[in-house]
Amino acid sequence: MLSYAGPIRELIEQLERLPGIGPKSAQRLAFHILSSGPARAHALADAIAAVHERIRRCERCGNWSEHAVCEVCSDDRRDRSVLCVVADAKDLMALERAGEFSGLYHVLDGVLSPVEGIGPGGLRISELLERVDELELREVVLATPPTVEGDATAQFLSDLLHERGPVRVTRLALGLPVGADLDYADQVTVARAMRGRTEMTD
Amino acid sequence: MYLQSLTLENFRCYERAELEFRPGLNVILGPNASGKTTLLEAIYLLATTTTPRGGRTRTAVRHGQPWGRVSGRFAVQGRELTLRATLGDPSGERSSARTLEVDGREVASAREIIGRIQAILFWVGELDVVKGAPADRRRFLNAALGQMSARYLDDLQRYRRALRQRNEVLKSLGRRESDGHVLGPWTHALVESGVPVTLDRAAYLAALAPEAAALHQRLGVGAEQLVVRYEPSVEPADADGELADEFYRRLEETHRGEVDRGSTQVGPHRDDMLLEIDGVDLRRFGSQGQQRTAALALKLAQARVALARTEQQPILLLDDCLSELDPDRGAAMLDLSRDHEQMIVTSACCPEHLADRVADAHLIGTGGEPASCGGCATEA
Repeated sequence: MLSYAGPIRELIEQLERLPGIGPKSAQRLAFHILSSGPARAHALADAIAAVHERIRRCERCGNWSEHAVCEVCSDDRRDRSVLCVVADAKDLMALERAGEFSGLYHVLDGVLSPVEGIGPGGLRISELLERVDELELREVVLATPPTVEGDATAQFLSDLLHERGPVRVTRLALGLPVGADLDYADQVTVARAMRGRTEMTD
Repeated sequence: MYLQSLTLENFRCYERAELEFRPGLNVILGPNASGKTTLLEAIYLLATTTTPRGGRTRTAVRHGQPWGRVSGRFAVQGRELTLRATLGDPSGERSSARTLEVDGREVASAREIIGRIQAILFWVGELDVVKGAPADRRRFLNAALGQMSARYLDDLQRYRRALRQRNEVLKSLGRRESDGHVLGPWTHALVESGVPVTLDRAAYLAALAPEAAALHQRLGVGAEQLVVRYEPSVEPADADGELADEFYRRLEETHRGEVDRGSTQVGPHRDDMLLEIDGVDLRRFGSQGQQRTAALALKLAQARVALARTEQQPILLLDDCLSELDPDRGAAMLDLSRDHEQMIVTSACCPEHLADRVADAHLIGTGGEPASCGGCATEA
């Protein structure tokens, strides 16, 4: 049976390893790269190589950065008494885009999942505790995802933080989409919003 | 809601068939192995996107064909709704594909279909709810509650994940690979999701039990009293007790055993449902007839509770019930159709003693042709 020439096959195989790319998409992308000319192919190759040469982990929070300390951590205007714990750097960006939070972050690198062999040792928890000791914190915001694993991770961290001393530990609220009518929200969302209801003060 | 018409293409033994249905009682008549159950299966497939036989829906495609299709036109509160499920791929490329359509528009997920049409099917496999293992009775509860409440399904899924993760930690504790403090958050997750699952099941069975007893009375002969009761793995010792506190207490109490066995010993995954007639445990000691009548009463009660909760009349699909019930019970069962918007039953033969009961019914042959009761009775 006729097969593709070596370099094309190699490119298809490499593309197939990317998340969300199947054999057919990989083939389509490979031929697109082939037919779009050498200049664009080099630009793509350079961009891929550059993320590994020029991007590293921020030595404080674990966010991806061009410098040893990331933009957030080196920004003097940030509130250093509040720390927000996220599962990964994508979540950090989502919170930054919202523009509501002006404190510091800490990237955990995932959530607890014994089934996948991820215990406390597999996450950046000791780094978190070191930072908590260093910074004089008023509050730690736990912003792990609202899944069983994300909730359990938040619970684990909360227990750990409370053991170490008096600090306010909060969890990101979950519930109704903003601006939507109650009767448009799905059952699961409404039920969870009711469970997570908050006290109103005068 | 009721089914108006059903079309099958390359579905099990059918190459192509079109059947018309009416509100009220519909009786599908046909000899054994003529495809009566398949028609009910097709209706069930449209309502739930799954087959009651279990396994992949792909297996329902007619032997040797690359694809099969079921379409149904329903009337829901005065409006028409067309559901269509295509199994396999008519172009022959992706044989495992499954396409679901609502009113001609393809939908991405089964979730967009589930719940639009409520169908309750009683067939031979249903006897397991009485004589099967506790897992069979939990499956009944999960399916019944899940059809009504997406919130219940969410809690159940969270519970199952928490249980899997917690059991993994228990195994590592047994191997002395981790210490006790990593168990805490998973215990918390287990209790948090397990409590609403338990409470929902308790409330559901509290509503189901009197309905099932009343229906059993109508179907049964004599004064046999059916008792249905929840047997939760965790329940507060007294009425004022908090379920969550009790769950934590029982987990602590069984901690040694759970580490030894590497699995959580208490919780909704250990629930059961008691079924009793005059003090006799039907699960173990019921006669075939008693078990059958009890299973039928449970199914019919499920429809009643669904109606009360969702204000939607589920379509009742009853497979081959008449042949096994004695004349009085058979007549009582058909009389129940008066309480439902639509009831579709199958029968190999339309028994003579029920002639007056089916006089006003819509009789259909398995190929969709009109069937008559008289011809069948003389044949017998």
